[in-house]
Amino acid sequence: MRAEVSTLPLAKVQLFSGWPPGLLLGYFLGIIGITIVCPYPATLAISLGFGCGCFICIKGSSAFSYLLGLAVLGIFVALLNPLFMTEGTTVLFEWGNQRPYTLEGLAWGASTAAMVCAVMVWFASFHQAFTSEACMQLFGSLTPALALLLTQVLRLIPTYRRRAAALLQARAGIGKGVGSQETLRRRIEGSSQVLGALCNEALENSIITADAMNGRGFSLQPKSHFKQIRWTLGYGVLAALVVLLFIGAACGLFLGLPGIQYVPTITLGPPSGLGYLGLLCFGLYSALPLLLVGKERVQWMYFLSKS
Amino acid sequence: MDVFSLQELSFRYPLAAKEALSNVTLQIREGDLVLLMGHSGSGKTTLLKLLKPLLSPKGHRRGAILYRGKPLEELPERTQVAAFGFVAQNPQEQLVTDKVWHELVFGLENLGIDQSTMEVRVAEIVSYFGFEDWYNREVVTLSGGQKQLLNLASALILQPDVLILDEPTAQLDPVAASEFFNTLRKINQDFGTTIILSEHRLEEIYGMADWVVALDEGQVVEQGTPREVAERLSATQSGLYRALPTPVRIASEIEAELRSREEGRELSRGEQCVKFDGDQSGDVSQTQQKSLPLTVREGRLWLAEEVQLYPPRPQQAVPSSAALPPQPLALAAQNLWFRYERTSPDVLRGASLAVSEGEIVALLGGNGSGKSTLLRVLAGVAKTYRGSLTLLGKPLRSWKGADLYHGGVALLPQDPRALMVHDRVRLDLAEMLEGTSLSKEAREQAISAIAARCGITAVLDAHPFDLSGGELQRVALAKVLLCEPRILFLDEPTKGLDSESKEELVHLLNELTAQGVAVLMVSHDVEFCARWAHRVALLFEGEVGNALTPQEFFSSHWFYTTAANRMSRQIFPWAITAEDVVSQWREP
Repeated sequence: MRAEVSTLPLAKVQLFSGWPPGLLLGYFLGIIGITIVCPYPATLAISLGFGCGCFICIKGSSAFSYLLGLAVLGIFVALLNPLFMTEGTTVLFEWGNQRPYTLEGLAWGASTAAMVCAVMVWFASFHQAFTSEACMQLFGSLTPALALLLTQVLRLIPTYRRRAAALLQARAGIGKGVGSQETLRRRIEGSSQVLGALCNEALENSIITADAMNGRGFSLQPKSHFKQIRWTLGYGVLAALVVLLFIGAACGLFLGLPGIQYVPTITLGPPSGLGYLGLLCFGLYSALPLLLVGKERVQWMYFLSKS
Repeated sequence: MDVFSLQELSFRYPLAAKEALSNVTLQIREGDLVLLMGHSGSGKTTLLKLLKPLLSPKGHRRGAILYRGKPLEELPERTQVAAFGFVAQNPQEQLVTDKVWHELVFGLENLGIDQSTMEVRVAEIVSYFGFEDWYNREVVTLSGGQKQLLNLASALILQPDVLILDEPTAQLDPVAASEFFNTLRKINQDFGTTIILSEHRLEEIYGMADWVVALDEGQVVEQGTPREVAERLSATQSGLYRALPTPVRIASEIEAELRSREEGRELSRGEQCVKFDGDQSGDVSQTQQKSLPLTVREGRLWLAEEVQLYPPRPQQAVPSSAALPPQPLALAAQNLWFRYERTSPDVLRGASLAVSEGEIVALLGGNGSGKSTLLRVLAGVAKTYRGSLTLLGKPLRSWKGADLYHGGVALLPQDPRALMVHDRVRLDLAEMLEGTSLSKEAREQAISAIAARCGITAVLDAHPFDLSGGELQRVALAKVLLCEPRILFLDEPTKGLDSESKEELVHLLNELTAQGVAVLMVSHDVEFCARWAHRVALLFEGEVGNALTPQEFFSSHWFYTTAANRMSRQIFPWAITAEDVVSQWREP
C-alpha cells in the first residue's frame, strides 16, 4: 500500500536548523551588510524577495501579519521622502508653499524603503534562527561568564514575572490588592511595595543559587564547553560556498555595477558583465537556504514516490 | 569502611549564643541510606552543610569530620565537587541555567570534562531518569517535582560518592514526593551510593532507611536502625515521637496500653509476654519477639497478630467524629465556573460548597485540580463567569472592596512569604491596621495582643526572611487575623512544617473556630485533615464532591486515605486516625 504523501506545509520549515552558530552569524551579517551598502534596485529586489521568502518559510502563516506591517512602513517611508527631498526634475504636484513633490524623490524614497524593509525582514529571520542554544554556544567559548549571565537572565525573567504575579495575587487576598486601592498614590505605593519585596526575594534566592553553583564547582578552572551543534564536513562545505558566493557578490556588485543617481534625473546604467556575475552570486547567496530546503523537499517526494 | 566519621563535632554560628551542633558523634557506613530527623532548628541543615566544605557555613567549629579516614579539609576542591552531591529544599532556587540540558552539563563543564565524556554521561542519565521529553525544554516550564528530579540528576551526573539531601520534598506534593523517594531508593539499591537526607515527612522514607539519627537542639538524642530508634523514642516519649510514621505509633501505643494493663494484674504462666528490648524471661520458645512495624504492610500483619493475642474490647458503636450542632452558613457557593482565559479550558466546572461558622472544612485534590483557584474565587480575588457566591449572608457582588477584607474574609497563600513586604515583622503587622481609626497606642496594643496569641512575640523585630517555616506561618496568620476575618481560607497550611509546628497551628485554628470563624483549608496532607477537619471534600474535574465527616470520607476510600485506615481497615473499617485504633485497647 502506498504511504501517504507527506503534506508538510511550506510553513514552519526548519530552514536554519542544525547550522553551526558561527556560520549562521556570518551568513546573516553578509546579506545584511550587502543590502545596506549596495542600494542598487536589483540587489534590493533580490534581497527583499528572498528575505520575505525565508521569513514565510520559518514562521508560516503568522508571517503575513508582520510582512503587512512592514509593507505599510515601506510605503510610508517612500511617500514621506519627497516631502524632505525637493530636488529632482519631474514634478508630480506641488504642495504647501509651492514645494515640489518629485518623482526622483519618490524613487529615492522607494529605494530607501526597500532597503529598510529588506534589512528588517532578514533581522526577523535571524531572530527566529539564532536560538538561545546557538547564542550560548557561540559566546560560551568566547566569553563563558557572559554566556552564563545570559542564560541566567533568560531563566530569571519569566521566573520574576510569575513571582510578581503571585505576590500581587497574594496581597489581593488580604485586601491589599493594587487594583482595589482607592487613590492613585496607594496604588503606586502598593506596586512599589511588591517590587521591593520581589527585589528582596531575588537577593535572598541569589544566595541559594550561588551556593548551588559553588557546590557544583563554579569556581574551578579550566572549564570545558558542551557543544550541542557541531561542525561536520557538510557544513564545512556550506561555509566555503557561502564565503565564495559572498566574495563573488561583493566584487561583482562593487566593481561591476554602475553608480545610481536619482537627482537631477534618474540615471541608471546597465551593469557590466562583472555586475551580472555579482548579481547572480548575490541571488544564489540570498536564496541559499531556500534552495537547500527545496532540494530536501524534492528528495523527499522522490523517495516517497519510490516506496 | 565508614564513609563519614564525625567525632565530637560542635559548631557555633558567629554572633550566636548557643551552639548549633554539640558533640555530634556518628559514623556513616558505605552504601547506607541515613535519615536525619528532628524539629526545625535542631541543626540538621547545619550538619548536612558541614559535610560538604564548599557549602559549609562560616563559624566556630570544634571536633573532626573524617571522609574515608582522612580529614575533610584535606580533600581538594575538585574532588569535593564530584564526590558529594547536594540537593537542597527549594527546587526553583537551585537551578542555575535556563534549559534542562544546560542544567545537566553545568557541573561537567565546571570540571573541565571533555566533550565526548559529557555526551556519554548526559545521554545515559537522561535515559536512566526518563527525561527524553524534557531535554530541550526550558526549566521554568517544569513542575516542582520535575525540577527537584532535575536537581537530583544534575548532582548524580557528576557520579558522586555520597548524596546529601536537605529536606528535598518539603516543597513537593505527596505524589511528587513519593516519586522522589522511590528514585532515591532505586539509586541507593542500584548503585550503592551512600545517601544522607533530612526529612519531616517520615511516613514513606522511615521504612526505607538503614540508619536513623535523631537530633534535638543540636545534639544526637538517638541513633540506630529505624526500629531501634522508634522503640527508644516511644519508650522515652520524646517530642520527636510524634514525627514517627503512623504504624510505629499505633503499635507502640497499643503495646503501652497492654503493658499498663499487665501491670495491674499478674502474669499467669503460659501466657505469652511481649518484650521489646530483647531480654527474655521464661521460655525462649514461648516468648514472642514482636518488632515494631515500620510500614503499612508490616503494620497490617502486626495488627492481625495482635488482635489474635490480645483481643480488643468489644467494638462499640462507630464513634461519631466531632459532629457539630448545625450553625449558620458562613459561605455558600453554587455552580461556580471559572477559567483563566477565554480560550483556555475551564478550571472550575460547577463547583458548589457550603461552610458553616465555626467549622474547619478541608478540600483535598490532586495537583492541578484547581484547589488554589477555587480558594481565590471564593475569596473574591478571581471572578467567575457563572455561579453565585454568598459570603456571610451577602452575595459577593454587594460586598465593597475594603469591607470584604476587614471583618470578612482573608486568604493565606501557599507561600506565606508572599504576604511580607517590610523589613520587620512588626511593620508588616502594622500595615494591616492602616486605614482603621485606631490610635497609635491602640495599634501597638493590638499588635502585641495578636503576637501573644500566635506565639510570635519573640520574632516581632526579626526580618521575615529570617524566620523558620512554622514561625513564618504564624506571622502570616497573625497578619491576617488583625483584620478579624470571619472566614479564613488557607492554602496548604502544613507545607514544609514539622509536627511541632503543625500542632501549634491546630491550636490556633481551634481557638478561631471556637469564636465562630469558618475555616476552609486546601491541603494534600491527608493525615492532618483526617485528624482536625470537621468535614472533608474532594475536588476533581472542577467539581467538589460531597463534604463528609473525615470518618465517612476516609473509610469509604480505598486509595486516598490515611495510613491508619489502610493499616487497620480489615479489622476496624471505620478507624481513620491512630487514636481510633489505639482506643480499642484502652480501658474505658
